[in-house]
Amino acid sequence: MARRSSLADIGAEQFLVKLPLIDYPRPEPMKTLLLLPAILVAVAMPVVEPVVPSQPLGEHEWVADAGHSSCVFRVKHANASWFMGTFDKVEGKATLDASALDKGSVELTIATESVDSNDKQRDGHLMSPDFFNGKENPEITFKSTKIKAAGKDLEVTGDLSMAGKTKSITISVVFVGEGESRGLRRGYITRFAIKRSDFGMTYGVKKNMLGDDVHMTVSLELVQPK
Amino acid sequence: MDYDVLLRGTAPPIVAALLLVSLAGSRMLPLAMAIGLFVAHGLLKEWPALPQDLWSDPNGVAWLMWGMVAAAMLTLAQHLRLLPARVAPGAAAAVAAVSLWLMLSKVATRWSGVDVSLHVGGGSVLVAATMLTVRIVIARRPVASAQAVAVGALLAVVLSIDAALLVLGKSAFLGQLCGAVAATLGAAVFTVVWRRKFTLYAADGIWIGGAHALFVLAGVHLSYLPWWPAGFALAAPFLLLFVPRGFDQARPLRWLAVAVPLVLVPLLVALWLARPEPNLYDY
Repeated sequence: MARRSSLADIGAEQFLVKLPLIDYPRPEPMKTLLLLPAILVAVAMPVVEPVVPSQPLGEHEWVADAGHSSCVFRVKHANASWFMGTFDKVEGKATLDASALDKGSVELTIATESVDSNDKQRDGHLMSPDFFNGKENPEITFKSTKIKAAGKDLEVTGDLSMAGKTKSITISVVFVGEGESRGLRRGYITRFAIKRSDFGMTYGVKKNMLGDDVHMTVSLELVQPK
Repeated sequence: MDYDVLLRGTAPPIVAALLLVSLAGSRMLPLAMAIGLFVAHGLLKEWPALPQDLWSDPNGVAWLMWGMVAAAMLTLAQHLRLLPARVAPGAAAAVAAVSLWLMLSKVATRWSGVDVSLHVGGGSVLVAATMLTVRIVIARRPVASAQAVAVGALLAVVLSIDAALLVLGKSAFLGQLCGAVAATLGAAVFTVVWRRKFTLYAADGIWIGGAHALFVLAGVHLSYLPWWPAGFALAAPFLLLFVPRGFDQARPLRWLAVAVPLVLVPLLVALWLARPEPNLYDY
């Protein structure tokens, strides 16, 4: 029986992607047939348009497909549970040559106002000077300064800027796969942790109302549109 | 109630006010406010960046704090007769304009020219007008302790309500800083218990009025205080100009009977308009 990953296992400190190994029950044939109309409808639905760059991309240049890229964060509440949220607007671009990944670069931009913690009022507070100071800092950005290749995976060092502060971090980025759908696509995922107090977001840290460690998962689908 | 946070925000200004006003008199009140606000900023979040660092990497809340320090120094210069009284209104207007411009410098980069002239230009006029209005209100009252205590206590309540408004406007930090300013004034007024005298000088209107207008505008532009409650709050001090002249020279209780409703009604309306939805900051 496959071991199920605990939350600690998928924690950022390991910088490794360990997707939970869950034994999903195999669907019964009859149920599969019943699902067929829904699957057909889903297939017929329009695909989210990829980001089309204003200028033609170079041979090794990629843009993030915002419709298939995501940023999820989790932070401990009252030292009792993880609560999760997302940033719904993730954009980025990369220069990656498969034969010389070390010479590449990655830039990521996340709209601060796209934060969604499943509570509009809390989202407003997250945007205030207590946290992201979103009116002054409408974007969270990451700009790589050094890329080290490890096979198809990457170890990326770069400047993470948010809430008006910039800090250099190194993250392990795992190559997920490559495919073709209206352009060549390449997927990467990274998990890392930051201390929000390093970015001046100290609200609720001392009383442990909200944890200082924020665990981020960023999944990027890079595309070279045809 | 988080007593630790409350203590970090209010203890420094209270200690500064009690020490400086008790030892050196009410003229040191603006200095107490500046020290208390600076230390409260440091204990609540982080030590504020110095102005030379803020030029290249601006932060509205830090600039707001330095704007308050500038207003305090201007007041102190008047108290110490380092600045001629006729220059004071112009200097106050300059401090108001520069403070607001710096406070909004980062958000204003994304504004249109119309928005910049409206919010920075119009806002500067508003802050300066509030400073001078509070200055006039204090100047109209007799210098006697009881009269000064009445004005000081009322203005401390006004700043406390501003602090509550800022919390409702989604920023606990701004609210705590404004609460620190209110605590300075409240503690200074309290020294009358053992000093037997308290004086609020007309020049103090510069930092008190400046605090009221700058903090409320910070709530709007740096956080999420809506314009309607902000408008009611901003209008409140101006209504004190409508206290009939006869009441200005009256005993404190008679003056308060007129002044309190004039000021508190718009502030309570502002609180009602900014009233919280359930589960404010409930993580």
